[in-house]
Amino acid sequence: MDSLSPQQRIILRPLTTILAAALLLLVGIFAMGYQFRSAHVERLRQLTSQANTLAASVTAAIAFNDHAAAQEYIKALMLDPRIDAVAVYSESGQRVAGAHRQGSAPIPSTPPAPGKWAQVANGLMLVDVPARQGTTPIGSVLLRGTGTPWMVQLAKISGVALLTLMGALMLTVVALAQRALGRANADLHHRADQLAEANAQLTAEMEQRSRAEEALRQSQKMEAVGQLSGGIAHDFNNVLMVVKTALALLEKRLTQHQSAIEGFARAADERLAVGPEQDAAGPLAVLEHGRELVKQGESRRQQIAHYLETAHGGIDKAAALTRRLLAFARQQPLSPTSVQLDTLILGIQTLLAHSVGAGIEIHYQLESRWHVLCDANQMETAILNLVINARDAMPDGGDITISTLDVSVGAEDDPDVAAGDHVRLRVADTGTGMSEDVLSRAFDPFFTTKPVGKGTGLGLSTILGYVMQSNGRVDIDSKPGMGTTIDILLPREVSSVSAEVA
Amino acid sequence: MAECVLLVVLMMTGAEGFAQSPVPDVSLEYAVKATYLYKMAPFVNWPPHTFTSPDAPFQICVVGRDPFNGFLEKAVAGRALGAHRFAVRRLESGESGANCQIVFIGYTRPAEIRDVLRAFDGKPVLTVTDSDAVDDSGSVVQFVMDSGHVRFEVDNIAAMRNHLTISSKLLNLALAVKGAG
Repeated sequence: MDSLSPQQRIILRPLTTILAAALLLLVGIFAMGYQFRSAHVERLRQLTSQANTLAASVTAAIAFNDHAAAQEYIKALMLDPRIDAVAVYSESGQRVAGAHRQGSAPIPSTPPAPGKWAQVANGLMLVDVPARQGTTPIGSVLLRGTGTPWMVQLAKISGVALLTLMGALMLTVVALAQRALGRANADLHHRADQLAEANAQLTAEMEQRSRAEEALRQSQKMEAVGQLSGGIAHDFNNVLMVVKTALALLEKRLTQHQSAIEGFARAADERLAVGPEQDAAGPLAVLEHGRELVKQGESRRQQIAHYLETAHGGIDKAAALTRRLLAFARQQPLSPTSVQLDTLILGIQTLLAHSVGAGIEIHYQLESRWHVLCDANQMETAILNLVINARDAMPDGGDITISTLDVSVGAEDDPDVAAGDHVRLRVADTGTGMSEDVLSRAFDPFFTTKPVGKGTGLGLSTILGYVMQSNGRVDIDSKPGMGTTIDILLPREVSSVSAEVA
Repeated sequence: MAECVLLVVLMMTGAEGFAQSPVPDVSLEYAVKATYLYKMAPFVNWPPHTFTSPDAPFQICVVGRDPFNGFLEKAVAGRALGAHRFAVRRLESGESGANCQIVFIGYTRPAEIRDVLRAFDGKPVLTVTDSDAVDDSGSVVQFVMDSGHVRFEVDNIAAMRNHLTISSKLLNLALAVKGAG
C-alpha cells in the first residue's frame, strides 16, 4: 500500500469495500439457504418431540387397550392447528386410536414401514416414533403435521435478507462516501498549499512593511534631529546676535574713545607748542578740554559696562540652553544628594507663589517622609517648570495641587514600575487639559503649545530626562477640560533608612 | 346369554392381543386379564433388590383357582421386562411366594383372600384379585367388569405397603384409585 500514490489508494479503497459488500451478500444468501433448510429440520424435530410426548403418555392406554383414554390424548394434540393427523398403534400393529383433519387424507390402519420420517404431499411431514414404557415396547405413534408455512419461512428469511441488503447498502454508501472524502481530502490539500503560499506572501509583505516602517521611523528621527538642530540654531543665533551686537557697540565705543584721546593729544600739542608767552590761556584750555574728555570717557565706560553685561547675559543664556540640551540628552552633570521632597518644596514655596501670580492658588498635601536621591537644584527647577506649565494651562485662574506620598510598589502591582519603596510627587491642575494628540507629543523636545517666544518646548522633555537619569519615571494623565496630573515617581533612598531609624 | 353378550362386546372393543392368533380355549375375559397381568409390569416400579440376579425371571404367580387354563403361559412366552423374562408359576396352598413379583389370587372368599394377602403383606409383590372377589379385598389391583370391559381398580395404600410405586399412567386408567393423592 505504501508504494501506491494517494490517488491510487483513493480508488482502491471503494473497490475493496464493494468487494466486501459482494462477499457479505454471498454470505447472506448462504445464511438464508441454511435457514430455509434448518427450518425443515427444526419443524421435523418439533413434530418428533410432539410424537414422543404422545408416545410417552399414551403407553398405558395402548397396553390396556383403552380407546377412550388414547383418543383423549390425541384430541389434546389435535388442538395444535399444525398437526394434520395422529394415530396410535399397538405393539402388534393394530390402530388403537387416531384422528385426522377434515379434508385431509385418512390415516393408515397399520403403521408405515419403519423409517424415521417421510415427506408427503402438500408440504406435510410424517413422523413415526415407537411407544415404550421403560424398556418395554408398547406400540407406536404416527404424527402427520404441516411443514413450516411459506409465509413464516419468508418472514424468517426476510430478516436476514434485509440485514444483508442493509449491510451491503451501507458498505456501498461507505465506499462512495470514502471516495467523496478522498476527493475532498485532495481538495483540502490543494487549499492548504494555496494557504501556505498566501501565508508566505503575507509574511514577506509584513517584512517589507516593517522595513518601510523602520525607514519611516528613521526619517522621523532625522526630522526630529533637524527640528532639534533648527531650534538650537535659532536660539543660539539669537544669543549670538545679542553678543555680537554688544561686542560691536563695545568696539565702536572703544574706537570713539581712542580717536577722542588721539584728537585731544594732537590739539593739546598744537596749543602748547605756541608757548605760554604767546597764548596765556592755552594750558587752561587744554586742561578744560582734558576735563571734558574725562567726562566723555566716563559716559563711554558706563556704556561699555552695559554692553559687556549684555554680552555676558547672552553667554549665560547660551550656557543655560546647552545645559538643557544636555539634560534632554540625559547627560547633564548631576550632583545627587539625599533630598526630602517635602522640605525641598517648603523651601521654594514663596518662589512658586510668586511665579503663579494672582488668581491661582497652590494647595500643598505633603505626606512624604522618605528621602530620595536626586539633584536638589534640578528638582526645584523641575517643580517650578511644572507649576509654570500648570499656570499657563489655566489662563482664567484655578487650583494647583502639589502632593507627595510614600508608596510601596509590590512585584505584581505594576509591571512598569520596579518593586520597592517610592516617593511620588504629583502636580495637578484644573486647567484646560490636553488632547490625545498633544498628550502623545508632550515629552517631545521643542514641542510646545505656548505662543511663539513664550515657551521653549524643552520643559517637560528636560524633566523627563532628569527624572529618568534619577532612576524615576514620569506619568502624565490629562483629558481636554479635565485638567492635567503629572506624577513623578522616584525610588526611595535606601541609605537614608538607617539614618532615619537612628 | 350374558356370556354371549360379553363375548361380543370384547370382540368389538378389540382384544387385539389375540385377535389374529387362533381362538384360545379360555374365555375372552380371562384372555384379556392374562395380558393385563404382564402388561401391568412396566407401569409398576419394584424396589431395588427385588430380583436376586440381573437376569432372574419375572414371576407371575397364580394362587388358588387358575382361570387362565394355561393361556397365561402362552401370553408371556418370549416376553420380558428388560432382562427379566416372564415366567408363570402355580403356587400350591402353603407354598412360599418368594421371588413372585405379581401374585394373581384366584380365591373368591374373603377369608382365603385375606390369608394370601397377609402372606405377601409388606413384600414387594403386586397382588391382583379377580373381578368376582369382594370389593375392597385389600389387594393392590382388583379386576372389575365395567359394561363388558375389563377394567381395574388400584389400592395405592396397599401398593405403598408393599413398597411398590405405580405409574400415574396406570392410575389414570384405573376405574377407581384408593388412597390417591
